[in-house]
Amino acid sequence: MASERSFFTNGYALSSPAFTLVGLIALVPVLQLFASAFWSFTTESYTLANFTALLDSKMATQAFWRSIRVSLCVTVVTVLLGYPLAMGLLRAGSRMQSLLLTLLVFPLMVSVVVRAYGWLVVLSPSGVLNKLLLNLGIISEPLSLIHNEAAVIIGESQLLLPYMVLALVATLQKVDPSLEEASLSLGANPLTTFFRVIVPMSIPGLLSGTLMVFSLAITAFATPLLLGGGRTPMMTTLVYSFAFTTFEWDKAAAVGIVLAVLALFFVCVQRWAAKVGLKSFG
Amino acid sequence: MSSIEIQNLSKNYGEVTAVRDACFAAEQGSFVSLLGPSGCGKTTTLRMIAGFEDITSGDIKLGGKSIKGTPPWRRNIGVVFQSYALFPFMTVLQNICYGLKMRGVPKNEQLARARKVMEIVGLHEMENRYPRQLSGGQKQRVALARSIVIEPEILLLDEPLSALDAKMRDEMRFELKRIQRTSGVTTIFVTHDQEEAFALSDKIVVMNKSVVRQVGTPREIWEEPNSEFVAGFIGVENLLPCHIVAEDGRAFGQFGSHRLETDAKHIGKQGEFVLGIRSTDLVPLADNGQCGQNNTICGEVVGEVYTGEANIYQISSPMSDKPITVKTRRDHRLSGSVCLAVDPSKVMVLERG
Repeated sequence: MASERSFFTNGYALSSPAFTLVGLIALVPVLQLFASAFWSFTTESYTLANFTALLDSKMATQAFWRSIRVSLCVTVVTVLLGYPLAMGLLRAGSRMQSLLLTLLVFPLMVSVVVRAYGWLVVLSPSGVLNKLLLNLGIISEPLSLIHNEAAVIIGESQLLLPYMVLALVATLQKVDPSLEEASLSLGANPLTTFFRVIVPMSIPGLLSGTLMVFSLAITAFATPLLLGGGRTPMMTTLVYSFAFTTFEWDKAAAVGIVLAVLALFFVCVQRWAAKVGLKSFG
Repeated sequence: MSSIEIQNLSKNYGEVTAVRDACFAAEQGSFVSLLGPSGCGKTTTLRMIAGFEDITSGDIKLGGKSIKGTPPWRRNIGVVFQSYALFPFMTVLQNICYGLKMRGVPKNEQLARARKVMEIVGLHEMENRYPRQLSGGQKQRVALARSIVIEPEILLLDEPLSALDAKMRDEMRFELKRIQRTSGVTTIFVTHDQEEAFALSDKIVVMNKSVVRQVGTPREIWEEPNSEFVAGFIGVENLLPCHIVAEDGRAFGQFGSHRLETDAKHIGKQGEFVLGIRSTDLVPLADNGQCGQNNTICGEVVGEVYTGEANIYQISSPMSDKPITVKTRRDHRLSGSVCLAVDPSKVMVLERG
C-alpha cells in the first residue's frame, strides 16, 4: 500500500509519460541530427567534413552572418517600435486599451505565409507602394524592395513586434505610476523620465522580449524564404535547400547544428545580461 | 520656499466633480493639512498643486505667481507619495541626488547637499543601500530627503504615514514635524486621520464631497466646528437636529417640547440647525429631581462600554432618535433613569449637512 501511494504522489512517476513522449519526439530526432551532421555517407565514418565544407562555402558563411545580422536588426526594430506602442497602450483608456490589444494580437491569428505574401503585394515591383510612388512621380523606375535583406527585416519585424510589445506591457503595467510622477516632480522632463526611470523599470520585459524576438527571428523560415528569395539565403532556408533541393542531408544537419548552437549562445548571453540587469531589482 | 494660494480651484472629470471651488492659503513656512474622508477631493487638490492633474477652473499661486499650465518638472515642488515611490534600481544616495542631477548641480555639491539632508532626516550609513533593503520608516525618510534636498518652494505629502504600522506612525509624526521645522519648508499634508492633522498642522482644511467645509487652526476647528460634518468628523459624538429660537436675549435649541440653551452669541441664527455636544461635556446629575430644569437632557441608560479610562453610556432620550453618548470617569457609574446637565457655552450650533 505504502509503495503504491508514494508512486502516485511522486512527481517523477507522475510526469514519466510526458517525459517519455518528449524524449521520443524531441530528443531522438536531435540525437539523430547530431549523428548525421558528423557522419559522412561517402566514407561511412564520423567526420568533421560537413562543417569544414560549410566554412569553405561562401554561400554558407554569408547565410550565417546574414541570419545574425537580420535577427539583430529585427530585435532592434521591435524594441524601437515596441516601446512607443507599449507606452501608448498603457496610457490609453480601458476601452481603447482592449481595442488596441486586439489589434496588436490580431496579426498573430493570420498565417505567417499569408502575411509574407501580404508584404509581397505591398513591396513587389508591381506592388502597391511602387505604383503609388510611380504615380506620384517620386520615382521613375520601380524600386526593388523585395528579395533582399531589408524586405526580410520588414517582414519579420512586423511578425514579431507583438511579442515585444506584450513583453514590455506585461512589465510596465506593474510599475507604480507614482515613480514616473516622482521623477517629474524632481525636475526630470518626460523624455528624461522615460530613459532614466521607465526604461530601467522595464528591463525584465525588455530582456524576455529580446530573447523571444531574437530566437523567433533566427529560426524564422517562411518569411526569409518568401521575402528574401533565392539570392538572400539565410541559415534556415539553407537547411531547406540542402535537404530538399540538393539532397545533402548531412550538410543540412550540420547547418541545423550551427543554428542551434548559435541560438543557444544568444540565450546564454541573454541569461547573463538578465542576471546582471536584474541584480538591482532583488 | 513660498506661500501658496488656492483660488476657487475646481476639477471635473467629465460629469463628475472631484473638487469644487476650493479656496485656502498656506503662509510661508507653515504646515497645512487637507483633512477629509477618502474621495473628498483632497488628493486631487494635491495632485493639481503638483501639476499631475490639469486645473478645470480657478488658479494656484505659488509665491504670488500663477503656476497654472506650468508642467510639474518646472514647478520646483517636492512630493512625498503614499507608496514612497523610491526608484528601486537606485541606491539611497542616487535616489536623493536624482533631483539635483536633473538641475545640473555639480557632483561634489550634490554629495554635500545629499549628506546634509540625510543628517536632517536621520539616515545614517544607508547611502549605498537599495530601497528593498530598507524598513518602511527608512523608506519614508529617504522619500522625504529626496523631496527636500531640491529645496522646493513647497512640500506636498500624500498620506505619507498611512503605510506605516501604528508604532512607527507615532514616531514618524514627531519626526515629520521636526524635519519640517528644521527645513522651514511650506508643507501641505493630505490625511484622513484627524489626530494626525491636529498633531502636525498650523492650519487645517477640512474637505468633504469635493468641497472645502472649514479652514482654521486646529484649535478653531476643535472648539468651533462650523457644520454637522466637520463636528462629526473630528469626533463630536452627539449631533441633535433642532431649530433655534430666541427668547429674552437667550438662544435655545427647540426639540418639540424640550429645549436646550446655547451660547447667546447664536441669537441671530434662525431656523434648522444641529446642536453638537461632546460626550465629555455632559454632566450626570446626582439628583434626578432636577430634570427639566438647568439645561438638562433626561433619559434611560440603554448601553454601557468600559474602556479602562472611562465609562461610555448610551442614553435614550425623547430629544433625539439616536441614543445620546456620555462619557464619565471610570469610578462614576450610571444606571436606570439619568439626568445630564450641559453648560450652554459647550453647546455648539452647527449648520446641517
